[in-house]
Amino acid sequence: MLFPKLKRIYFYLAYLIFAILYITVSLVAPLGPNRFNLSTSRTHALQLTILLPVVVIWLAAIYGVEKFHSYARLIRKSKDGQALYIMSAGLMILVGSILFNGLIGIVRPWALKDGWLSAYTVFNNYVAVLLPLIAYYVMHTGSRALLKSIKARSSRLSWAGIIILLAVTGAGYIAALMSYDYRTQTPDPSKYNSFYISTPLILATIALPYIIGWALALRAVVNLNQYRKQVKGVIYKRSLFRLEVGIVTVTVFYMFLQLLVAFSTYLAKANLGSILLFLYVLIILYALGFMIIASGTSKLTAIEKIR
Amino acid sequence: MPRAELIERIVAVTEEYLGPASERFIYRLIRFHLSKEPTSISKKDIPKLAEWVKVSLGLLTNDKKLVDDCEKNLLKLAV
Repeated sequence: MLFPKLKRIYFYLAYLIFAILYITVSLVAPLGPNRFNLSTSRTHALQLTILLPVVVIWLAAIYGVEKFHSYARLIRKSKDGQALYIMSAGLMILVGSILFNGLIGIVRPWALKDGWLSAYTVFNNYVAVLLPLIAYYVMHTGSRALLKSIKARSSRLSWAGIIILLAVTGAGYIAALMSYDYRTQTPDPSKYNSFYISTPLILATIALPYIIGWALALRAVVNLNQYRKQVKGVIYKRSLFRLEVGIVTVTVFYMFLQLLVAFSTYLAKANLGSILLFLYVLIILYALGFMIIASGTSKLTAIEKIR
Repeated sequence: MPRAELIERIVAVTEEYLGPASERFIYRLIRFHLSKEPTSISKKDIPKLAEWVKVSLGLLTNDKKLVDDCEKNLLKLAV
């Protein structure tokens, strides 16, 4: 079974290592020209206003996922416990991918400076695609096991909704990719990002896995919702509702973040204040999702521990 | 009523409140407060168990009606 026995300390130790690396490496990274014409000290100050909230969000994510993992581990011998354990493993991979992508992101200035930006970008893009895809697959597997534990099925109406939502989102995402001028090459890497691979490869190995990942994520949250609706237990359902809201918030947020990367060219046209405000709103929502997960699992844990 | 059947009925009552957690919850209470194996529980143990269930559920929810309802349904199994 995935992640058989992870002590609480390992979560926070991993967090501490990632956070320290993230901040220090970001601050010593070579500075390129920026479009806001800021001095070095002002650039570092601006970096800190983004780095510190990100590190706080990571802490919220680690806290939420650790609580969920501890709860699932507590009941992992039962059918619902095994299913929730798999879901918690999926969420753990998702959080891991957020931290890992954050770390990879800070290497970019060196890749830009030393001329290996294309190799770096290809690697970064595939990690950003693969890890969440694995996470969503594992979460989906757990959600299916959860439904199976009460011999329930997801409603056809929900599937129809997911297909329509995916068709619209997927079409918008592919349209944004196709309309981007610097898709395969960029004249100025400091200004415009590029995938550094051919268009068919972008569609087959980046866009398609993203859309498959979103489908799995949406199916996982719909399955969890169906489980809560069909499972017995008034008190249990109330506690599970918080966990569900938290998982939905975090999953939808991450999907949104992936979409945002595709639309980043539009965001790049905005002014600094708008970008920061937008980032902070996203960050707060994200942290809130993990805090709701922690709150839901605390209530569920209370049911399991009370005597 | 066979004892194994009695524990199943107790779990079925609490399942309405605690869902899949009910078996784990009831087994824990029986072992901890009645110092018995769940399958060896008898009808005469039910009033004491119902009391502990009421106390424990009271710590999980503020819904007094729900807690009283659960206790009442458990006590029905004692007759």
